[in-house]
Amino acid sequence: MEYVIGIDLGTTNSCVAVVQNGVPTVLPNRQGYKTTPSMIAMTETKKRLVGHLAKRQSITNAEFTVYAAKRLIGRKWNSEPIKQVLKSASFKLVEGPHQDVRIELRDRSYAVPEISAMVLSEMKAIAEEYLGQEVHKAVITVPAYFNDNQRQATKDAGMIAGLEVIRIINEPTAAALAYGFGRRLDKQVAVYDLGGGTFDISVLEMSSDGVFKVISTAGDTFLGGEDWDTRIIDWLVDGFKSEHGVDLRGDRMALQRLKDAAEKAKIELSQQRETEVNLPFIITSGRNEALHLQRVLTRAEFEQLTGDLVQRTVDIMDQTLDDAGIGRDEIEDVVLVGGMTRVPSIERAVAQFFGREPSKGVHPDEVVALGAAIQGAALVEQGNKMILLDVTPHTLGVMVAGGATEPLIPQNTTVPTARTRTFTTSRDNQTAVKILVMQGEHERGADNELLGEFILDGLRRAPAGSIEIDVTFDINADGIVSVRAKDLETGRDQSITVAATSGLTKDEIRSMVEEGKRFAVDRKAGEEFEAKRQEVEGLIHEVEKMFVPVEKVVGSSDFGRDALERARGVIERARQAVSKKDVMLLKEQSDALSRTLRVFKGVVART
Amino acid sequence: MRRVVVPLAPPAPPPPPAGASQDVADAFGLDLDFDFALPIEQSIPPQAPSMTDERVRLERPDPEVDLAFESSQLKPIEPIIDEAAFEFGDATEVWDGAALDFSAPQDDSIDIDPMLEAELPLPPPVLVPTYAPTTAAPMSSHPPATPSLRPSVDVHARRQQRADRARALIAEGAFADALDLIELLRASSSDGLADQLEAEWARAQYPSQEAPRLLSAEAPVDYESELGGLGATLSVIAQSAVIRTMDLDHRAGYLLSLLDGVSTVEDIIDVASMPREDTLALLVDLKQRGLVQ
Repeated sequence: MEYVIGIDLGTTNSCVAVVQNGVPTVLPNRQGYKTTPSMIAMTETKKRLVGHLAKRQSITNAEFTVYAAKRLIGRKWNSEPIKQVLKSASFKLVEGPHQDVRIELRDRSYAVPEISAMVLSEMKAIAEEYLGQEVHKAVITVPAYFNDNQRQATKDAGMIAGLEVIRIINEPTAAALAYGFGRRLDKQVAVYDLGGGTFDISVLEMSSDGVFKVISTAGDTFLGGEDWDTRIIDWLVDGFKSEHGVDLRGDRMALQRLKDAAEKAKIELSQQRETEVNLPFIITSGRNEALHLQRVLTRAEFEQLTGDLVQRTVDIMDQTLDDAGIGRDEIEDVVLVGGMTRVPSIERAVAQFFGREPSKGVHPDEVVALGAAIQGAALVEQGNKMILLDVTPHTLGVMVAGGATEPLIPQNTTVPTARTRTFTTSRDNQTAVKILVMQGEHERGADNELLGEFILDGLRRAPAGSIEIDVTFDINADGIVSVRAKDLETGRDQSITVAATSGLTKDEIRSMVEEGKRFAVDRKAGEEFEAKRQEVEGLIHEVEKMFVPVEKVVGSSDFGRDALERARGVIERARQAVSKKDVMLLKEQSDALSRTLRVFKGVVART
Repeated sequence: MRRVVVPLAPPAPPPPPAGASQDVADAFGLDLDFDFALPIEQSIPPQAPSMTDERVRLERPDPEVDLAFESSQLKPIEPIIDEAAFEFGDATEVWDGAALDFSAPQDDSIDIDPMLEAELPLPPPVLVPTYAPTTAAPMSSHPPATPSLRPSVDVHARRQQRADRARALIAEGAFADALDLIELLRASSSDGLADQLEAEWARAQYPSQEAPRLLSAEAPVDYESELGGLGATLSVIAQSAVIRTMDLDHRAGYLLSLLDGVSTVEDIIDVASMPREDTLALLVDLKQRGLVQ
């Protein structure tokens, strides 16, 4: 059976799920966690670390650890969000050959989709290990505000990871899918999604015939759980400084421990009224004296430290509902997404804002991946009638004389859709018009994103305003935008299909896909070797432990001495196989070691 | 291929367990034409049952005798293999049984260290009423109104004695005994004396000057083997309070924070952001200190 996995590719954490026998299930990683940090690191020995291991050295190896790549994906080098990231990123960002963003790790630069592909490969591997078979297809979620380029870049990342991305769906849509799974609901729901690095609020309309529609969405891409952690870290560092006169911010090991401890404390305070942060030997003072950090943080103090952050999410919710013209009382249920929504002060704030308790029926960390898996299963199942309506994340229009943008398809319009508007020439005897396809909500064209441009020529020479041209925007179900301009007098037309671009050429993508495949093969071989190596090392250890008792029994005979010598030979050959990294040889030596161990045990058991 | 021909000592009922010799041959590439079983000296089996009886008779009264007996009587059961003197079946089993019988009472008769026995928690002081000696004064018509109380032991002095003894043991290097004593002191009172002694114990056992030596990468120590291989996982087993008494630095503290019982030694090396040899040496040090396993 072919599975389609659902992947929530998050800014801070990612999650993978699948529908098995009609039941959506989140798949745990090797460490047993159901979410995996979306982090990549390159060690000094150029070993690639993904997930928890990357996170655990994210501060001590900050220059070579990439986090929150989702904030960069599909963005142009000179865009505002990239400028903002450049101010705080600990890793090195450089401009790519196509005005895209590249990340330098050790002696190589990586495109952002390559980095995201590493996370997706990890999620694919988790699923394959769980399912015991290869996985080729996936549905990946993205924020509802992602533009076409960002969506395309996410698709490219999936391709580099060896996945066919059969659909990109919006995160709030996925959450609503999981929330409504197995139920027939006609409801207007709000999805409050506070993750590790971003905050989104969306309003969706669900209908009992299986239609899900995003009515409105907004958020803050620089507000998330990490801000809460930072407040705790600051509190700990300041307290330590006043107690010992030592600033822990200067020590990376100390900061790494503080970050881990702050996250742990935050999680514990969702369950307990107070928690102790206990970090022995946090730093060695100038007098060569080891200092310990030990402080108790109460929930009340924590809420005081982070109250303004909670308020920021409330303000965004307020603004979003106002903009969409939706009253709070029109929201019939609230779905919480993201681990941060377990924080009591956040849950309280949401309940207070909407005047109702949020839904407790879905797991905030898993709901998006589950929704993606549900959508994936629906796409490949015969006869599934679930319809998923996506909306345009941003306004689409054309730039007109004077530099303004004239919108044709407003933000949040359900796709597929088509709109036509008539324009005219702006100058006398104008024989050609330039159609600039813009995306964005700003009135000033320059503030929006240029998706593509084309020229319609062969117009009749005439006074300004006397030639009429119809411009039609068409968006299909896959989100592909086609723009056509037609001279109504002559019937002459010209069109363009706006192909979203991730900033990578086809050749680059092909080369990255090949490299991804090679890495996957190497990784598999490496894992096989690693498993065998561990087995062999364990056997060597066991056999060596038995040398003394066996020698006591048979060591005095020529035969026994010879046998022991041969056993030493087996160990030596096994060690050589380990150092040569020869899996086949290792398998042979593993068998020989097993036989030796069996014999040794037999000998000793009879004493 | 070398062939080993071993003359078997007849008779050998019941038949020896099959398969072992073939396994030996498979494992070591030998061709065998005999089956392999435990060889023992022929002179031992008849004595074995009497050893058991003797042991039972000798136990308890004099531990020294036990020890002497063990060292002298156990000697023959480390057989010197003689390819011509293999024995199978009954003889081995009889001897095994004797050995088992021998070991059972031995457990019962484990000697209690006289020192430790003396340091076991004391019974509560007994209150003894004392009366005026009959010979010292003429008998009064009334006994004293209030009997005087005399504590049988001076508890504080006794605790101090124990503390002194613990310090002496630490000075002698008898750390295990010293720790037992410290625990006894801790169990009987929470006056901080035990904590103080434990800190002294830790300082003495793990002197600070040891750290640089252990961190040296030049020492020809096979750190990986010491840790059970790169695939081994390590967990912190010591209590936080005990860890704090150790003479560690911030790097050791950082490594301890990385040990979660799931990550392998190799993972720890990857995330430690320290030179590989330093990480391994520190981990071995933490293991040798009994803080991790």
